Amino acid sequence: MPEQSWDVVVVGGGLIGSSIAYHLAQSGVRTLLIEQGDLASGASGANFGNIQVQDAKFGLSLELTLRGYDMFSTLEDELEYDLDYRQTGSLLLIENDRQWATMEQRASRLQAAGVDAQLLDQAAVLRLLPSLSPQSATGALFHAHEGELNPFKLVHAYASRGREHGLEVWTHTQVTKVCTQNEQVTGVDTNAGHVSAGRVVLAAGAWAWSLARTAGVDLPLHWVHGEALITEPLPPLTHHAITSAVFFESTEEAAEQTVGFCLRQRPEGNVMIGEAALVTRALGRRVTPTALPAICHEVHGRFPTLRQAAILRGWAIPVAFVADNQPLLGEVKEISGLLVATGLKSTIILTPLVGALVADMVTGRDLDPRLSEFSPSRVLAGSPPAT
Amino acid sequence: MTKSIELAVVGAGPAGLAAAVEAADLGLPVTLIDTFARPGGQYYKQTPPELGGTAPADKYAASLLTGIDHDAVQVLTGTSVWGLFPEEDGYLLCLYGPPGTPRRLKAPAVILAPGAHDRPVPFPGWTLPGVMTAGAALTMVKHQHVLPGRRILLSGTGPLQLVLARHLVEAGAELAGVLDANGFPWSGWRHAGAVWGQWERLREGWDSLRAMRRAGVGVRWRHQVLRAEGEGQVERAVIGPLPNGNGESRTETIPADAICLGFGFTPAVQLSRLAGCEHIYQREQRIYTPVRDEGLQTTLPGLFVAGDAARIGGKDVARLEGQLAALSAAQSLGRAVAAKRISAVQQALARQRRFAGVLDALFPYTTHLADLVTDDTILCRCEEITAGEIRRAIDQGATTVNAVRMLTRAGMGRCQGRMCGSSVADLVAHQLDQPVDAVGQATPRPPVIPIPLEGLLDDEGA
Repeated sequence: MPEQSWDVVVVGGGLIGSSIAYHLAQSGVRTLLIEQGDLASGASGANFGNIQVQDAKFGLSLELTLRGYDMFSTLEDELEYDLDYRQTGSLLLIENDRQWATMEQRASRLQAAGVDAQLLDQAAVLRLLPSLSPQSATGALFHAHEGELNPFKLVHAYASRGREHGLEVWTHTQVTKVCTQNEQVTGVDTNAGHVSAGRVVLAAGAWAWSLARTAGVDLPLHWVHGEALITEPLPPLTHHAITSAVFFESTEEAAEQTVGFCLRQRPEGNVMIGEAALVTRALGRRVTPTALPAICHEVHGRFPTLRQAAILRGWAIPVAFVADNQPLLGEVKEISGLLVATGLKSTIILTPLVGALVADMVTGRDLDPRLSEFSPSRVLAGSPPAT
Repeated sequence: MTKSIELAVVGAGPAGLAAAVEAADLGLPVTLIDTFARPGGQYYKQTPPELGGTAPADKYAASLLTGIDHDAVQVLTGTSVWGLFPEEDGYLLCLYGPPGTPRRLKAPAVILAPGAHDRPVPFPGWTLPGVMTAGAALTMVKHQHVLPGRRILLSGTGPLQLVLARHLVEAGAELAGVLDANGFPWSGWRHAGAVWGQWERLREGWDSLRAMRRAGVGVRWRHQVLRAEGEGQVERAVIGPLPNGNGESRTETIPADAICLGFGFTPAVQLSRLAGCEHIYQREQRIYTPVRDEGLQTTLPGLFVAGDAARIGGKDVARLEGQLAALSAAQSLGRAVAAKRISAVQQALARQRRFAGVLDALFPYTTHLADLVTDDTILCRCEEITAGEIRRAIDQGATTVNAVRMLTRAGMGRCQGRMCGSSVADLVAHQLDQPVDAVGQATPRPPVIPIPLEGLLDDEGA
């Protein structure tokens, strides 16, 4: 195969990588997107499709989240693609007094930032979710307009529209090394040969960590082995996204293992339920025999009517996170031309915006200097245990 | 919570029964697990007492079915194995069965003998009520004493169709026709050596042909059903030779209220794929099979596959493979096994495999999906996804079965791709002009069959 040369190579054909690649191609940058499997076959394909506002970290993350949220009302028109986008609302279920205090505080700070988040008492929650077992929630943080879309379709929309702007997409291609010379990126080695590029963007989720190491960069990136399952199509249960507020306790404390609870009924009626999460250094995709029973146990307590629902399949995927709950976004200090975009807390809501921001970083357009807060070379205090 | 055992056998058809009996004869404790209420599987199916309670006719069935009534054999019927996970010191089997059934078994050795599924063959109208597999029709007529229709068309290939035709005729059905997609097996004489001695089988074939002749029905070779038509139910079938690309083939329309499809079987590889052992695509049979060594061990130590789940060979191959797998498993567990017994089983197996090979050679699966389906033919019945939607996903850049699944939901329904997986693979491969094994298979995901949520809990009532 003759040597290939591109302006930018984006590694990772998931939500973030495809959005970056699309925005770059649209700006006239000669871009190659490389994905090791099918498009959206990593964490993006295991995503529930939630467009979440309420769980953003306060500060710049929330500000970007709100900007990101606004981009969805016009996204289907922009991409000329039916993304199954709908505004469904969401509930963060509160289960104890400690969570109530956290959510009360969160509600007032979100409201101050202009977010339409309401704290609901138990009676109000049960009116919205009649099949919820009363003892499983004392209240909830409710957002009436949070949305959802089909993540597979979003990735394919970016890839298809990107191709119209000259984007090249290689699926089933493994990047084996990020190549550098004199602290400058020169391209990547792949199982299909060497590719030259002045810039490389790692948007490969948890896989970004080992890719960066091939260039001698140690990213402060961790991941959990996340698992979820899906039921057969069921009569309407709820159209809201349901998440347990326990995720706030656990991710902020970066616990070793959490069995949280989130639920979303697909428009087709299938109910997706997650997730058991384990911090690990293995990049496994296999469902573990302990996770499915653990998830079922969580559902069973909250929605006893789902007791007889047939479970069709479970899935597992490594999901990247950063100990300070801020993304890794920008150029690494050690190597010029090597950019990273991973570790977002709620990926979908930031997908269009991050694509545009990284395209700006590459093309040298004016950037908000505050984005240095997300520098992949920042020093983090402490890191979670890995098993 | 997790119960430790020595040997698990999954599936109580000829392979599983024979494996359990062989193991018990060696004094090896074995747990035999089967989804159905009665052991026997499809070949040795036992009719429930309320429907006459007939015993299977096969000469080995009775001794195997009584052989599992043994101190060393624990039988778990009505129990599904929904997960098989390799662990450091053996395999974890996840079970769902009647109250009291253990939910987790840990075994250093496992023999998988889950059998095979009827091969689905989509064509326009194949989802109309009245279209069914030959296997389903055989169960209806033999065990439930129900006729699938009044005027029945059989389309497929191979001798199973003749067996079905005979049962239908004897039960009083009118046959609209028996179509074989292959030509008359003139080249059969070349296999005389392999067929020599298979008198019982030849006799069964001869009896079937005679029964058909008495009913005035002959086999139409190189013909198959191309389309089913009717209002809410099959009323007519369009039949003819397969289109050969030179324009319209000569077709005719015949009245029929049931169509039975007998295009062979595909191995049930869900558990072996989930466990993660290596599988290869058999281009002639167009099926995936687990890679096995001489002793039927897969590429995972301690995991064996026997019978139709590994390669379609029929009940006698299955029975002998069950015996061989049990002997190998016993050896792997450190039991003394007589070399004479192994070589006797291997010799008998080789003879039966030669005969199965003849059937493979005479009745290959030659139907090409792309010749039959139109854009509005449904390929994925669970999610009602048409061939046209799948072709559009391919146009959008999907190059694998998994990518098509993500874009269209084909294979995401109740059957998890058991029914449509091979059809989708055939279509993707055809559209992209690739070999079928280049477009992959859907990732295996537990539970391998739908299980109620409460059934996945570690303990009952937890």
